[in-house]
Amino acid sequence: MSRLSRQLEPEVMDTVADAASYDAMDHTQPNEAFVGRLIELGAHGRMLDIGTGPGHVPVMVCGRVAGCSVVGVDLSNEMLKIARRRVRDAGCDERVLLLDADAKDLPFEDHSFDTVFSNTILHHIPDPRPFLREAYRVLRPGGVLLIRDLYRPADRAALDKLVAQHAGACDADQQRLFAESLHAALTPAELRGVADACGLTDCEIVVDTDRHMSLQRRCR
Amino acid sequence: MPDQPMTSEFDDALLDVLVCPVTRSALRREGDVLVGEAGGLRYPIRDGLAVLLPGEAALPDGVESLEAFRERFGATPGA
Repeated sequence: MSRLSRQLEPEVMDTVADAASYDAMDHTQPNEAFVGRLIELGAHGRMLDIGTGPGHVPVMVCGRVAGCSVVGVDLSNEMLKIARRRVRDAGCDERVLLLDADAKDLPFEDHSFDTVFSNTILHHIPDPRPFLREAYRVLRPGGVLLIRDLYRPADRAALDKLVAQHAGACDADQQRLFAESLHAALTPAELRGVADACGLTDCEIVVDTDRHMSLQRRCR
Repeated sequence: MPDQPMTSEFDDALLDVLVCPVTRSALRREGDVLVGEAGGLRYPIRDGLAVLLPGEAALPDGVESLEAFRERFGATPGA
């Protein structure tokens, strides 16, 4: 069987239906694993969540890291509205600030954050280089970086197997979203290549699960 | 799912960390708009959410396009 080439999906999940469909999927376990990794890496202080989506991760981080604050950005206004409700319901308004911004053109000064993270966003972006450069630019030297994403399976059969395994109980739309995301993702070797090209040579790449990888740097 | 009412409150604490994404200059608030110190791009605040997308910003008088603005004031090459 031929190897799977990268096939992009829409960059913005900005229809009400797609945003609601994504929000309805249960991401609790992957989100908890993500926050666990952030803590292991020494996440602290002022944090930036790039592509915050429906806002689960900032709320979880506030519950687990004392004294932190999170700025969450997303390109999708619909997602931000969902995120704002979630943040309010959790009573985190004071610590989580949300705004509509482009990961490729971040509205922050250099070295503004102690921790920069992004969960499952990279595959939405056709050219990941401006995203990586921006994430690194706004991170203070020695700060924590965690960019986790799906990675593209080797072939169609492997992709179908992952969809059956992890989205088998979801509806057809949700299965389609997951399959498209896997298809749009980079491989670990491709991510290493673009990270090096963007100067992120002090960040390691870790293959976390059968579908997730992380580009990360711990607190120094 | 019923939609909860939104307030249109924008948190001014955000201004400490925000810059215009094109010029990287500070932003000041004028009602429901954030204005870049350099060049004067005007970013809307909609339903209390600041929209810091250059494509959504209003251009200052005398500038025809975002490309022309970037050429004149941009801190970074056009994205």
